[in-house]
Amino acid sequence: MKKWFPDRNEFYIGYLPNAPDGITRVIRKVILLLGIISICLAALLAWHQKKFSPANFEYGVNTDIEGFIFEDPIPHVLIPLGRDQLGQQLYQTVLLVGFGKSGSQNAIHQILKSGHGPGSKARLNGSLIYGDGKALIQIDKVSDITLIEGQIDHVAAVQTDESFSITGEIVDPKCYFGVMKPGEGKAHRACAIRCIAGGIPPVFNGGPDGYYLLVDESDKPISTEVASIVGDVITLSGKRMHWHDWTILQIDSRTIDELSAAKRWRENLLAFEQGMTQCN
Amino acid sequence: MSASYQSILWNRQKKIYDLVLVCFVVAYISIFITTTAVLDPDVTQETLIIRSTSTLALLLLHVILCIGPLARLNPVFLPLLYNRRHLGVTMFFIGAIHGTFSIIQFHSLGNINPILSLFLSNTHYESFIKFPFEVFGFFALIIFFLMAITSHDFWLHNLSPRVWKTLHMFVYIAYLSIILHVMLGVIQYETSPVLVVLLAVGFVAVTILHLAAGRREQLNDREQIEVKNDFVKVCNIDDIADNRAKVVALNGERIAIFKYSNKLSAISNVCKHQNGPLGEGRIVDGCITCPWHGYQYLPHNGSSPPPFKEKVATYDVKLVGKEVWLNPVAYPDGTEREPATIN
Ligand code: HEM
Ligand code: FES
Repeated sequence: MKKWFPDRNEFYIGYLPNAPDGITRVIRKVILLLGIISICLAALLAWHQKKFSPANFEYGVNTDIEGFIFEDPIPHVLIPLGRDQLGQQLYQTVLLVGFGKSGSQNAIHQILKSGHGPGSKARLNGSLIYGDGKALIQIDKVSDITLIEGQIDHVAAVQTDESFSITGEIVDPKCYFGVMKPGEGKAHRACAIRCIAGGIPPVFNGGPDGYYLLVDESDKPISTEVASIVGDVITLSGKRMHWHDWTILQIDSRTIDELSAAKRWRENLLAFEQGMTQCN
Repeated sequence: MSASYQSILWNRQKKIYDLVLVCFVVAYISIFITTTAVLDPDVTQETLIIRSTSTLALLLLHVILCIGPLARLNPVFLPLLYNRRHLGVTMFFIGAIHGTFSIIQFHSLGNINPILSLFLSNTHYESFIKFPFEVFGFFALIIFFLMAITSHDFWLHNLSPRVWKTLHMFVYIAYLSIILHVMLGVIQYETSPVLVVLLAVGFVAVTILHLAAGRREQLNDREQIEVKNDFVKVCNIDDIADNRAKVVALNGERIAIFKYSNKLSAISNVCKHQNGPLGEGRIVDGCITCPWHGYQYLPHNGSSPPPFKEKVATYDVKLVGKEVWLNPVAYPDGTEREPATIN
């Protein structure tokens, strides 16, 4: 103990070149101890983080894909995979999103209008985002999409359950399936809200029960309506539908309103944003 | 001191302090990043930067908050206090890297300005649990910023020590803000209790040290003596060691009586720099030297030797036999008083 408390007659003056010997000895030990504690803390904190998802965002890497583009219910491209035993054509759905926290609705709408409408074949150049069996592609600008020869018809979703309930959380698929880790939960709530407000379609993450696209009674995509409940654990009920390699949940839009008084919130958000856009 | 800020340029001890600090920062960040990347290669670079800097800033903040009371409890910690400013500025920069990357990652490239997005994305201000925790981090960072830019003695003099000290007391508000930032943020996402437990341990340590230091001050003041405009007996001459002081609290003022070169002089115990306890200082080269940052005052007039301009109040002191008597009526700062001579 004595070594830790040097001669009290020693007096430290910071601007002199040297500190008294006894004080120096103690301070060296204190710093060494602090160093060891900090290194242990760094390792302990690093070790105890929740596992990150193995999803991937090919940032800065551009890939060409070819498929048939649609804007409903949300912008996507269907890539032909081959046929099943019954001879039915199978597709991999790749959701289309824009640069940063923006959707691709405008770009896709513009392209489809200039071509032959929904189902037009196109070559897209963008960065792939994929995880847990789902894929997205980030298209930065309209010129990254080139229409080519070919077209298919829209394939309607097939209802599998009349009334279905599921518990989970709403995520923004761009971050969740690879751009950010973690891309879910409280720490990510603000970002997910910003992505959804920017036009990235929300996805319901039902955990072991898979992922769901959300549409309302008239098959219109649900978007900013859910912004205030992103990241909350909620239960949604509605019709379950099978659609290519995705499941769609058709919900009564009133459910969402009731869940969180979302409507009022959404109006505030839009009012704020309009105000902000004007200020800018 | 005021007339010459250059007098405290980087000296050998400061260089050592900064070198140790840089090594410490580099070591912490490297270990955090390497451990995470090895244990979980799926992590992204942004998350590595955001988390290594945030946890390091939190750790440095705890160290900074503990140094003050530790130095009050035992002067051996004074070398850590002397350059605490560097620690504070470093903590601010590291916190700012975390904050900036968080804003870029979570709020940029959206449909509104990233800073506005910080306040307007999650708008659950009505709920405690869902509260936008980022706002607390932002608020704390602003406080750290103000403290960092005003940390130099130049600002201490220009803002007046009182305003400066008040501003720097905001560090406690910033600390509570950071606790909320973590508790309402990432703690709700993580499943491991490690961060909560460490945060609790840190909070308890900071609180206990402050209470202990406060209690010591109280004990020191216990010998409060109520007096009129007259000399009071304070102690025996042998109770004061050579070149050191005895501190007494009279009418709520702390007064330091120094014994040096067979003389006794009394001055206010409160250093003009940052209210350091002059009575815990020493006489060095004939000057009373503050234990905190080494400001100096001449014992007989409470004035810093030229070219410096600090001045503290002086008091009359006399010897009656072996008894030390003090008059608690303060003379204006810097008034020359004849020291009592010890025969
Ligand atoms: C503009 C200011 C700030 C913003 C926008 C901000 C934002 C964030 C965000 C989004 C997270 C969650 C990140 C994650 O998923 O890991 C976080 C966590 C954290 N922040 Fe901040 N923060 C700010 C300032 C600060 C400051 C000044 C400190 C400390 C001195 C701090 C300490 C922490 C800590 C310890 C964590 C938990 C560990 C982590 O997850 O990184 N933050 N902050
Ligand atoms: S308080 Fe800083 S030198 Fe006295």
